[in-house]
Amino acid sequence: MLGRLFKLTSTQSLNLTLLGSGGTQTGSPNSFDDSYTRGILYGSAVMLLPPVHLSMKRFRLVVAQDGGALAAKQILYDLFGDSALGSPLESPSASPLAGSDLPNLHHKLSQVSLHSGQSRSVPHTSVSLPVSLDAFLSPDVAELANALQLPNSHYFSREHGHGVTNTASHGSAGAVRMSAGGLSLRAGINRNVVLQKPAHNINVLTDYMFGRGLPSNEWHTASKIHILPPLNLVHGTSQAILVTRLFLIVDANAVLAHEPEPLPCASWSPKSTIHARESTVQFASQRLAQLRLNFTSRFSIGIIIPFDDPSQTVEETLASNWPSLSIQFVSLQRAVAHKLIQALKNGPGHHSPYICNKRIQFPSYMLQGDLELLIQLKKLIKLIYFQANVPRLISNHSLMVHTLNHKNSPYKANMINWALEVINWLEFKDGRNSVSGHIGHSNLSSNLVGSFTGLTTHLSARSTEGIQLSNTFLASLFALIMPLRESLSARTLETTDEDSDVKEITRVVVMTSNSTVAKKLIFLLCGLIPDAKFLYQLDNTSTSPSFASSESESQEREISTRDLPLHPFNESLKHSSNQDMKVSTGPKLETFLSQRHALSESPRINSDSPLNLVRPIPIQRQVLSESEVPSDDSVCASVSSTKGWEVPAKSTTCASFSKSSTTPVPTKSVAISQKPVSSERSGNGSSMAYLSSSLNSSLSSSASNYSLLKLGNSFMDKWKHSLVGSNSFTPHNVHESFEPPMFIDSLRKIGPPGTKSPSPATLDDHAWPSHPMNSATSSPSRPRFSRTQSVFNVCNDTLLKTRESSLKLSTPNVERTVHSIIIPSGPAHEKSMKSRNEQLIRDRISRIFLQDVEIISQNELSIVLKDPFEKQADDLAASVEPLYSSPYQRRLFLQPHVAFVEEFRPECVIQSCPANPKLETQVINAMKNDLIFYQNNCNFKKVVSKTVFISLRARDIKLIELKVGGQDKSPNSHFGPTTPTQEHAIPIGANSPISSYFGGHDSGQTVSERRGSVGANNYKTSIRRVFSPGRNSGDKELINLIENQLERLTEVVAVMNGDQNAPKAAKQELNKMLFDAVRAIIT
Amino acid sequence: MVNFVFCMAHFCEIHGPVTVLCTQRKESELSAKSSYARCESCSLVLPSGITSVATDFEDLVTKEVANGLSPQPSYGNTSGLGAHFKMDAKMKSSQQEILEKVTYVSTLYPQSERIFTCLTKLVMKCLSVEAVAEPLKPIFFGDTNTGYSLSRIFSINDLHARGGERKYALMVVCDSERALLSNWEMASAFIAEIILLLQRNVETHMESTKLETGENGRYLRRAKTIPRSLVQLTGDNEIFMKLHQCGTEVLRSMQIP
Repeated sequence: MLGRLFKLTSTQSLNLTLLGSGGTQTGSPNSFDDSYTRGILYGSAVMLLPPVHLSMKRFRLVVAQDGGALAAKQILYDLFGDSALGSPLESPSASPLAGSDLPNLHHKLSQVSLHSGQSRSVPHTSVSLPVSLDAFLSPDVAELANALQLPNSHYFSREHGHGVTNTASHGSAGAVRMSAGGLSLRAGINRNVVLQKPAHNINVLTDYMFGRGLPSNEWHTASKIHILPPLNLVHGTSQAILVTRLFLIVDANAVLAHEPEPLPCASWSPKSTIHARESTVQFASQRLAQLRLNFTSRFSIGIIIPFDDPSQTVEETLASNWPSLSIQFVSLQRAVAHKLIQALKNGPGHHSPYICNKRIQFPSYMLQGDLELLIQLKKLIKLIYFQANVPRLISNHSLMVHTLNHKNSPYKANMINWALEVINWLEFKDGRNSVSGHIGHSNLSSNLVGSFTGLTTHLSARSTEGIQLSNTFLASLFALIMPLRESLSARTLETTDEDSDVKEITRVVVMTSNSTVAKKLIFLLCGLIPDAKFLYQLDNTSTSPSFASSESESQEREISTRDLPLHPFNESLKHSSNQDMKVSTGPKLETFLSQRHALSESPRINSDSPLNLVRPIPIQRQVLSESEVPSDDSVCASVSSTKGWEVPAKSTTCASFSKSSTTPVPTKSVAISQKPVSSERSGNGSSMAYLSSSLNSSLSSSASNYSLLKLGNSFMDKWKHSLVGSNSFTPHNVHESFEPPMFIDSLRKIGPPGTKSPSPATLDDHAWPSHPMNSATSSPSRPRFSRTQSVFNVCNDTLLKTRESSLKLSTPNVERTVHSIIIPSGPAHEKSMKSRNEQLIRDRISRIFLQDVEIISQNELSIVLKDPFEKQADDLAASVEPLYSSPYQRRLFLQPHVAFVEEFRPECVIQSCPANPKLETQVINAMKNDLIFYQNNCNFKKVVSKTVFISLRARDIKLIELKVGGQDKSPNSHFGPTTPTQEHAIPIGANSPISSYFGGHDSGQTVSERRGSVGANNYKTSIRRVFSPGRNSGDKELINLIENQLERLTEVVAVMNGDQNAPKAAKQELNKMLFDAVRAIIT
Repeated sequence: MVNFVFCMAHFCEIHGPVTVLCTQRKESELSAKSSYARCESCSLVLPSGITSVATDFEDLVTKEVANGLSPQPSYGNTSGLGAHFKMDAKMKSSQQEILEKVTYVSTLYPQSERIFTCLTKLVMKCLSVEAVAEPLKPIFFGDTNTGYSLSRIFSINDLHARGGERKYALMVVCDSERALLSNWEMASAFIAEIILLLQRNVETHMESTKLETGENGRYLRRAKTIPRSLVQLTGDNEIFMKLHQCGTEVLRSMQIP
């Protein structure tokens, strides 16, 4: 039994490690995203993004050098090395370790160790210390190599201590069977498999990598991308591209002395995405230094990336992720260069054995067994895999700002959803009552006449009277994020736009067991992070009618409440309604409603109100007459929408498909209960699991295909939740009606890692207390549901009814890809964006070639032609589009914000990850890598890496900050001096994981990568616990400000919720109040 | 600021890899006529005495905006966005597009010395160094010294050329690596379409010439290598002006990520 358990565990870990090898990653069935979640996060409720399948075995890494020969290059490393063994390039002396068994291998390793640096008979090997064989094999790399079907002999290499151990071995005879760390490797069998693997000829690849010209001494690192000819496989053809990094290892002084940087030119300043320093070498020995200027040699790293998936394009796979890919390429190049320089310097005596004829010439396959290259390749593969499969989030901040600025914005639902999710969080997670019982009549009445004065006065009075509660989690988080928005919205990884010597990288990581909750929090955070480019595109393209959702979709989603079925309150609503159906009518609000009704008959809207600075949303006449204004206590069959207590999701679904069959459900008018109820319910009520908008759908569709074991939840828990879900929601299957069942099933089966989630049943609320103020959670859910519905109703009522502005409060389905959205979005089209553009290009170029050229003017030296596509006056009159609009559709790359990923990805700025005790360590390691990379490779004098680490389980927020370089200490201004800080400077020693980068070892050499200043070798770590239960050490002033803004939003929604029969003017005012409340928060 | 250049290069049998047409956004007044010696096959053939072709457009120009305020007119009369203004003002990489009158100019070679040096190197690499993996697909190469190029080499049949064909390249050159990569699909689609039409025009012209002159059996003897320009090969006197219009269309469609 234990054996089976171990076997299962190892298999699982292998599958998790080896992405794409068996397709296990893509086959996770736990995708609980519904259309609502997809809509708010990705901008498309019916996002069809099939996972990209990458064949790991088709990745290939080649390192070669240009030894000077025109027709042949020396291969230093080839992942498909065995296929190249028979090539004429192979040197027989290149395989000193042709061991066939383990003792022999041990023996030869020790021999190599002992004779390193003394015997020139093994010139390609430089070993300083013998290393035990067990230490050679790390499970990850061994598994990776196993999946790649590498010969086992290639694993035996390791960088250790003060030197590099490079032991190449090409087992040629017999099979090596070795057992180390539970791994069994069989070289002979793998050899046969590898030999059968079709691959591009290595000589052809080196032609692409180096070119066919004479070797040049250009020392700038060159980048190349070739689309390789398809490989004919047994089951078809295989497409791939070759990405090349071509670099030189030259003397640093020679570069500076003989090839100065060109003068800056405004009209031409070439910049790479990651501007890294070149690989240079500097000899300490005077005698070796005499050799400088006399040797140059080009080295090239080629990475073959399979492009078998039809959705893969250069733009989508490479260009959208080019900064993170470039970092990986640079890291790979640095690793190779470092090893080569080490080998160059480890030559005995007076000169290096590898410099002959004024050229560096390493023996073939010198790096073949290198472990670090394999690790770097693994990182690259994982990077490409995750980037290809994890969709980025749409910028909700831009959508909201656009909504605030444009009365006809089609993204109004995004703003309302965001506001409601904020209130949901406050209510369910932070324990704040959504309907404040402290609001008096006078205050609310004064609000109705169009002024925030009352609310403002009320809020200030509350704060002064001590009513202000302890700061909430959300307000503390917002207050922490606000000052970091600039850094979060900037291009974090790139170096081209950096003019200063300071590099700042900021991330937000949410650790949770419940991805649904995390996604809600990520959605809220994305409402704060601006995206200037996206907003600009929205402002300039969304006025076109085509940018809104398609006509057919709009018709189906005309009624606002049709979105409600997908709202997260469905779950909590039903759950609580089953247990507590007591509904009490708040007397204050009833009084308020009567007052409001009186106000509506004699509107006294103050035109001088500050609210009038914002153009009001015009009131839209509904299909119903005034007497049929939707309210909580009636269901309007004519619009096929249900109100109040009915679960809107279900009603919406029914309405869209069979309008006439909708049965009205009479309900009583319900006001919001203000009484806190017993705390025994509040614990459940405040559960974040009830925020899941998809729990009902996920449960109703049966948990037939997800692994409870993986979720880490007990079967009983799952069963219990399933019962609850089935009892409560059986008649209300949500999106199965919206979307073809096949789509849902297929999405769950093959959903990419970014869209799959743990079960919502996986509660993450252990640390969240049952807040005594959380009365709403224990109250009947009717008010909560009514609130959601009423907000939509009020906003709908304020819309114009004209054809042009018949906006639908639904999430528009933006045409998008994994990393980008298509701008401008057009109506639904069968052809892809690429096909449409190609057709347009074909038409326009043909038109240029066919028609005669019209010359406008001509002088002595030049002629001026007429624009062949200049619109005529008639066209201009008929066209809605501006003159300068581009006819082509383009990709707009989204910011690297993702909702949920299986593991922490350092290239993502905002992300949520599964709960993992090692996650914080992984984050800190990634931050260390930031410091290492940008200081050592990109010449930044000061690098600051910050991470807002949010643990939902522990309910705490940490700000982790690592910085290196610079003399000044610039703590965040919003942290008070009393902030408890664990700040300590960590000198980097030889045992540090980053010591090799900071020069902790390698004391005998003066490699130019090292920083000159000793002080720069220390980095400082600062971990500040900004928020934890019962403790808040953030900026109090800012937190209180945001707290007040959130409270204001809550109160506005409460008023909207409590008054469905309000007249148009009042609704208009409420609408404005809602908009201003949201604006105050996000700006 | 990202700069794009559209270039047509030719491997001249006499002068080696050279630029034939270079289209770029006009930054300054063009210099006087150059005395750069060229043969017929690598010359920019325009009406007599003319050295450049230009087209004026009302175009969106990407500008570095210091404060991030001016190009957002929609924010102007909206209250409550002051904080957003401030935040944008602090953003270092704020680039905005502004509607301006832009002139695209095509010349034989770039007027800027820096661009000329870089483009010459890129043309040399493209036509004589870089190995082409797929003839129908573009290749990307470049470095931080010369800039980056997305190019495709193609040949045009000419009985008077060595080997019976002339070697050309269409290149979209940029000084930003990522900007060029982000325009891979558009640039490659433009290049493919221009090459297709050029080759088709040449074939059509060759067929018509054959019928007129009755030059059959040329393959039996070696033809005399004569420098010939695209005007002669296509039989279209306006071919370079059309290529200029194609180049302006390419440059206008380039997007800055």
